[in-house]
Amino acid sequence: MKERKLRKRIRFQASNLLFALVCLIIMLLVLVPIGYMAYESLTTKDGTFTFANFIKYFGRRDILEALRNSIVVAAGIGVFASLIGVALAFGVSRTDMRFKTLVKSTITITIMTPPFLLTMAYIILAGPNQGLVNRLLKSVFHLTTNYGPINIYSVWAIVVLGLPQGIATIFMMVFPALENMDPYLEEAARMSGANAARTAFRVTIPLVRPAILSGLILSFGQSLALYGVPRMLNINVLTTKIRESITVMDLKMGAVLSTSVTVLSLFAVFLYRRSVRSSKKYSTISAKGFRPNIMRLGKAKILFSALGLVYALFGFLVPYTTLAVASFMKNVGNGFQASNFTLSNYTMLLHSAVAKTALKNSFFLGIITATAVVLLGLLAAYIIVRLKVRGRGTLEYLCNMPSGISGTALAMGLIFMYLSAPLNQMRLYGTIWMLFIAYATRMLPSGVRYCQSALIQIHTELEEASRISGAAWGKTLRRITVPLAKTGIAYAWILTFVMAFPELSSSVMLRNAGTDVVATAILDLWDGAGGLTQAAAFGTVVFLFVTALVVAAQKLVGRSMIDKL
Amino acid sequence: MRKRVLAMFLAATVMAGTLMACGKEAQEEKKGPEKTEAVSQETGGETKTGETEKAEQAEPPKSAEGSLTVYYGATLEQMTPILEAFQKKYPGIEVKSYRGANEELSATMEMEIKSGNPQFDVAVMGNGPIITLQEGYDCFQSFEPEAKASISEGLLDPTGILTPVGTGFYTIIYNTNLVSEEEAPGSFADLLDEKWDNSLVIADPTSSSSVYTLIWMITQKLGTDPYGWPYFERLQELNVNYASSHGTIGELVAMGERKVGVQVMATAGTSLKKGDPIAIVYPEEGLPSEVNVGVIRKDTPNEAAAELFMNFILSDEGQRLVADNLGWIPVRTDIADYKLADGTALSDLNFIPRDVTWVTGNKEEILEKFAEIRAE
Repeated sequence: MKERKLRKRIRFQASNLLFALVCLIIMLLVLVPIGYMAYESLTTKDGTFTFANFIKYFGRRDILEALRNSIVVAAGIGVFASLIGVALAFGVSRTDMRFKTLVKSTITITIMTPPFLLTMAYIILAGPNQGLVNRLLKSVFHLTTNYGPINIYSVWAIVVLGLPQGIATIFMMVFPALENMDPYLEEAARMSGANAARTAFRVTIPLVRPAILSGLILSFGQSLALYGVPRMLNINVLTTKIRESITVMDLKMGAVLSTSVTVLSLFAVFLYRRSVRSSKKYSTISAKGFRPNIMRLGKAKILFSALGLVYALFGFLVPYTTLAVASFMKNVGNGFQASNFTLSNYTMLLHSAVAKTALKNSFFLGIITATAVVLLGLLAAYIIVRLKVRGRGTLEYLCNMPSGISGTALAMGLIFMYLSAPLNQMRLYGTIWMLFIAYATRMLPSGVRYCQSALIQIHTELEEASRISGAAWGKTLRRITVPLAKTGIAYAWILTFVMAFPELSSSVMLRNAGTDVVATAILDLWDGAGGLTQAAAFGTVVFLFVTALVVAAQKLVGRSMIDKL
Repeated sequence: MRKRVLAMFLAATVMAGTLMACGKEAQEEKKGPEKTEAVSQETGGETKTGETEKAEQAEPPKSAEGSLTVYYGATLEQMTPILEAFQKKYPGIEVKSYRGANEELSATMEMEIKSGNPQFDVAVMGNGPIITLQEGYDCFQSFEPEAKASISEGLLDPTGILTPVGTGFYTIIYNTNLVSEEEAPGSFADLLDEKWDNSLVIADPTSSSSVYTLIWMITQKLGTDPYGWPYFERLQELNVNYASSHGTIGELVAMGERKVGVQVMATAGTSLKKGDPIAIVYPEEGLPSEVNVGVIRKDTPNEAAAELFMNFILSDEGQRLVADNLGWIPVRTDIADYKLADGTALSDLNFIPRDVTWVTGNKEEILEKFAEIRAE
């Protein structure tokens, strides 16, 4: 009897120990860099507490402009992406609209590929002077203006270029909610005489309102953190100003802006968490064994189908085709004449030492990040889903925090952390491990989420049987849970790898000699180390590779990423 | 089925890794002859001097091994032939390199120095950021090049810290598909014309240090109307595009997105070689120029290799490679037969050396001024 009590206590302590260890690692990854960043922003050079830094920098016109632009971008993407994302999720889930598979594929591709690839394509398409679309518009409508009518170098262009990803984020939130919705309420509405539109607006949409709100807030945070698009268009936003603080070596400015953008994003994440928590009371949305009805749209079918087609064309088909075509050109400015086509952009890549180093580093970082994040994510997810440890809600919150921190701000925090005593003794700055830490932190939320979804799908009965037979939780996790969840874990690994592979915003702050990655190499090519056409070739290779991996991951679990979540 | 897909994925990953490794080996084996070709193309058989040939035939010194990390403020295609020629001459030295716009590069160097883990042994870039770094951290060591006697005396730094390697200068480029020779601007002042509305691109002072040469020329050297700060205010009215690097300026003009760019000769030359539809204009006011220097990091463990590199870049062969690929004017007085990428002889041009003290001493004010102008 005594022995059993003791065993129980040890088991209890071991699970607590695991909880403490996982919390410690995650705090080190997430909270400490933010702490360093906040400390730097709130102190003078000699360490005295002050608000003067905030007053100084937010008194500057260029920084106020960056703040205004960032908020316009984040709010613009949030609002428009919500409208379109909800319509598409509703259309794909509940109606007889066409192009459903195309829309789902576009959603998956946009979530997984970096928006700066899209930007390169749209500079070719919508450059105000020579953009192909502008030239077409000018000739079709006989416009006399030299400039425009579409100008890619504007704040609104960032909103438009960020939209495909924003729409995908909202779709990913709303679609499962619509799929899991109890159809009886809608049927009741229809039987009481409401037409399709009235049912949708009065019953369906209000039921998924929490999911819409979550998507809106998440996409607001993501858009605030956007770096690649404004950087390529050279538009002043908070994230590009953070990068600028390094080039002009004004680290206090970097600290103030990183802290501000993090506070804004975390506030959004806080709202998101609250909305998710409140959504639990909607018991009508749960995983039950029914399929919602498919609504016949009638005349509106054309509208929904057109929206889906435009989204797929705009977010996927047109830009990536443009990029692929440009990658075979000597110079985009010389147009579609036969002598302008070449394979040299690809052969140059094969011989480029920078491209090779970048690929090698991205592979290495992708592999170690995916492995570390899945291991950590699995432990964290196990604690959150299975262990009845007090404080697991806090752990879940901590794991989700990085989704609201921009890569540039996180990198800034890491720079302060690893350039100050005592951690500067580790001499990590300038090494690939610094990038690894940033990647692991950034990928943590999705890693935990995928692992959570892998664990939730396993029934607890087998684990309980193992526990009853005397196996400790560690043995149960090793012998029962992990083998059962291995497909889900492999899926999580591949998706984390795919997201880490083209990471840009923290890499651009932390790389140096020998630590270039694919995204920074593409940006360098665009900046003139090879030109737009070579950048397009590298971008096309990355796009094909990422798409192939996503397809492999979907084959592995036997269904699409969207259905999986 | 799932297992098969997983196995296929793993096999593909392993194969990709193996292929990359094999590719690298094959590449290393191939490097020799390829480099020879590249170098002979760039220098041109006839222009090689006896000294160069002798140097190429000579056995590399036995101590020429180890590793060397070179940081440079130029584009990859500009610097690669120089690094390859050095590598060919000293195969025992493993050469690594890293490029960036001057301001970004110096920021990386500063962060590395702060972290106590600097990675570079040698840096080749504009003198402005180097002077700032040396003042702040005393991080470079003095060096006496073998070719010191041949270097133009006015360019030599008395402390021996900054070794001049080439003079870069500003030109104007335009897209020949969109602008005729008659329409093309002939001077910096011509750029203020209404017809260039939404058509101009210059480098962004927050990421490029070379553009300070242009800013100095316009606000200090030329100073009065139509120049001075109002010149940049007028450019802003014309919706000038600020590009993050001179490479981007080349791209935007070549693709026609911007018709005219204020460009450094180095990148203008690269565009011409690539066959981009651009032409170069040497502005009437003169060509603002900046000395690019090489420096060796203090306490570098690869001092011998660093000195070999500096001597190489200042050798007759190195200077011709610098001129041909970086578009920088040689600092050696004994290379007088040099012509620019479009065939212009150096003696036909009017170079105006910038005041580097003004540039390094007023950086903060310049940035603030631009922030103000751009926020308007």
